[in-house]
Amino acid sequence: MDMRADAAADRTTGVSGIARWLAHVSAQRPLLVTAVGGTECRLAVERVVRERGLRRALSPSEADTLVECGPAGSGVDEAAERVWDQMGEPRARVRVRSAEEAGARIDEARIALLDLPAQRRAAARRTDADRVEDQESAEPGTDDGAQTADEAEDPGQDRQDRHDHREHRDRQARSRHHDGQSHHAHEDRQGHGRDDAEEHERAPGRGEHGGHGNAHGHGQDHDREEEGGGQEDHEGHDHHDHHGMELPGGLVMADRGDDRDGLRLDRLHIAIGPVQADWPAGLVLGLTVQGDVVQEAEVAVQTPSVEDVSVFWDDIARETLDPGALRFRAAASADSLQRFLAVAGWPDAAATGLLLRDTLLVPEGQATGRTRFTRWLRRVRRSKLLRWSLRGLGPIPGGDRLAGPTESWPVPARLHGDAAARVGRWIDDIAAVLMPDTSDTFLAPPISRERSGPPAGGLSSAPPFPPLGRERAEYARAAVALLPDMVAGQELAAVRLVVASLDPDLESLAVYLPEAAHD
Amino acid sequence: MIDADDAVHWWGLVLAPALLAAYAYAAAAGSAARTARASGAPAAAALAAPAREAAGLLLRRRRTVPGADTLLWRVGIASVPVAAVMAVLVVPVGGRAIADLSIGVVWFNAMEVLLWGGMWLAGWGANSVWGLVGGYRYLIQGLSHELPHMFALTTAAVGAGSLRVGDIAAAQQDVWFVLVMPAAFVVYLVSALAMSFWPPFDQPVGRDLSGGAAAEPSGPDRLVLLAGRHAMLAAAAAMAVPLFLGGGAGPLLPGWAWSLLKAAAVLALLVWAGGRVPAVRMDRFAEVGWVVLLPLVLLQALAVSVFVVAGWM
Repeated sequence: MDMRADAAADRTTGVSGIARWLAHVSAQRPLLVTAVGGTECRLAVERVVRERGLRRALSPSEADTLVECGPAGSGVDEAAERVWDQMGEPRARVRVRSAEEAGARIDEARIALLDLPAQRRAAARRTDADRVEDQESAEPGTDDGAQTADEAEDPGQDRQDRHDHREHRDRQARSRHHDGQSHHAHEDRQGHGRDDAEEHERAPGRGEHGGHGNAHGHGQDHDREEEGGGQEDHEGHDHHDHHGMELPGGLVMADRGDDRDGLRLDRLHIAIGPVQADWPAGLVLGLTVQGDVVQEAEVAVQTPSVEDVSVFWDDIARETLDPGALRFRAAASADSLQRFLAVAGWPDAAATGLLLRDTLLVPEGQATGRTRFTRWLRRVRRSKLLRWSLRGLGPIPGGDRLAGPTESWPVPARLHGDAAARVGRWIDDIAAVLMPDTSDTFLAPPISRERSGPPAGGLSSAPPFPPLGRERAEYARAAVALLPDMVAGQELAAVRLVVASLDPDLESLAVYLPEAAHD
Repeated sequence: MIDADDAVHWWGLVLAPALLAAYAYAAAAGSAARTARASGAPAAAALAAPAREAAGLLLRRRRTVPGADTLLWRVGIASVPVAAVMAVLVVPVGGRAIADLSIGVVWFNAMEVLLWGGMWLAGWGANSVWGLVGGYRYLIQGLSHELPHMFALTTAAVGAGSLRVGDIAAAQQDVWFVLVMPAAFVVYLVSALAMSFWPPFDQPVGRDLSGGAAAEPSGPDRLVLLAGRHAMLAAAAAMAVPLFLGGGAGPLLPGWAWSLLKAAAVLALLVWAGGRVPAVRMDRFAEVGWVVLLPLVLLQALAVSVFVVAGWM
């Protein structure tokens, strides 16, 4: 577009040249939402993001692009919807359904982000929609005293009017946010329609710090209170029930309970997942916390219908002696390891792990980087600080058996030990293809992925070695079953590390052991 | 509080924030380049990454949160860059500080403690569990490193017999304090990382908390918080020069150039160190702070006191 056209556009849309320039030089910041079955897409998107030198967002507050990876039709969609509501303009949303289209979809989003007049119109529509809702619900325009500053993209508008409504809209978006604790949907909200949900969210007496007070979790939160015993205050998502202290804005104080030291502290109900950086796809961990210490935990799994789920870490590794299969296993371990390192707060090491994963999966230029990866692996393996951080975390004793609905089964050997031991197994998998003295598979021929039919049915004709997917499914089943007890009594930092050290593959679980996936 | 001989150089009120901003940007760019290198991308391209991020944040719409204490939240966020700028007021560049207060060391420490309150408000005011826990983490981090940090500052002050930062730099004519009190220097560097919640002490804004205290601020708020954090690291690096590295002392170049060079070197060291190790878990660092760092720096202070009494310094 030439300058004159730009200037003309500026006059008609009210988008200033400065805003246009800022948009052009700004870096895209995508927030990834991965559904069960979307691993292949996630890997592709992460590769594109890395190759373009972008960084992934941790929360909707910093994201401008929402990238949904994998099939629609699970509870993850609704979580994504709420995250989308929390993002302010300029924003764009795309769904990546196959690995090939990852780059194109991100380009699409970038184009949408640069179209500031359209972003402006979308913002106005959102404001109008909220205005209509306001009138319908006749909610008094509570003002939490927030001030909204001038926005760069907004010169010359009827600012006061816009701000009032924007503020209100933002507040609503945030209430959605806070109900489930950001990007962290709660499974029990799935059944609610959006209008229904919003009505509930408006009810006074929801939320407090950290937004438990889950308006949707009727029942559930009450049940928890009964179990917990000793609470004085109700959560107060129901107008008539609550007799907690009311705060400005119609919010109530958290309920309280005894903590591990016998102090009476606020109890918050939060959920981690399914939209969370470096988090297993489809996993939702509902937590009752006091401060940052978890009192109770429950696990939910959000999977779409099984027909939609494809297992990425699977068929190639049917014959474990094949170098390509070893390499594929190593790639799976590198993926888990890089996510773990990101959670452990070592972004540089995680970045190299991600590069290694991509290198293992697409072997062009395979001979380069071996020195780098070997050095990286050695540094991670020998990191005293990492070992010290993980010491004694999330132990799983060997020889345990877990009771299923009909039979009991042993805990897979790969789960045994503490977080450091499990991380060590990933490192071993990678070392098997990386270290020169073991084998030279790092230079092995490219992986040719051939898709076999849906494996759920034909298990009787299983190959001599169990498929990687089935192995991972059994691992995930045990991990999901053990998780609630492992995280109770831990701090949030430890909870994230424990989950990352398990990294259950719910995709395999959904396909190979569908009955366990819907516990 | 300001003595008659406490010279205040008003011209520096413009220059010092500009220098601080330049160093803060260098820290951000260096850190982005380091991560880019680790991920196999060209490091040079990453040097512009913080500027591009800032552009995006300026364009971004700011949000409000239900139940948020917006005033305290914004005050908390704003206090981060404010504390950094106030802290460098007493840092001399080539022997001249904006305000070489007689209690300069205490002033610097007070600005850092201001950050405790600021970060707590920034986390708490957002009315989000991530922010709240991020705020908690900053406080427990502060409780773990603050006493060792204060004794490290005290050790330098004891060595010079003055709380005036200019006097401390001047007292290192013969031998830099880093050689006399290496443990205090190391503790100071550790606490410099911790006070600016820089990796590996970045758990208050950790990835595991979706960004912790930085999870909720968006747009310009976020820019202020992140810029302030980088500025705080730069301020702490600059303060290390008069405290332990001889101030502007050095051959050939003028004093101000040595001050700036040394500060840049310390900053580079801190940025580099941040990428070498995973995050330090706060619940475990408390033990290290009290059981290892505090006795270590107390012994250091004792040793320096004996030197001073014996007339060796």
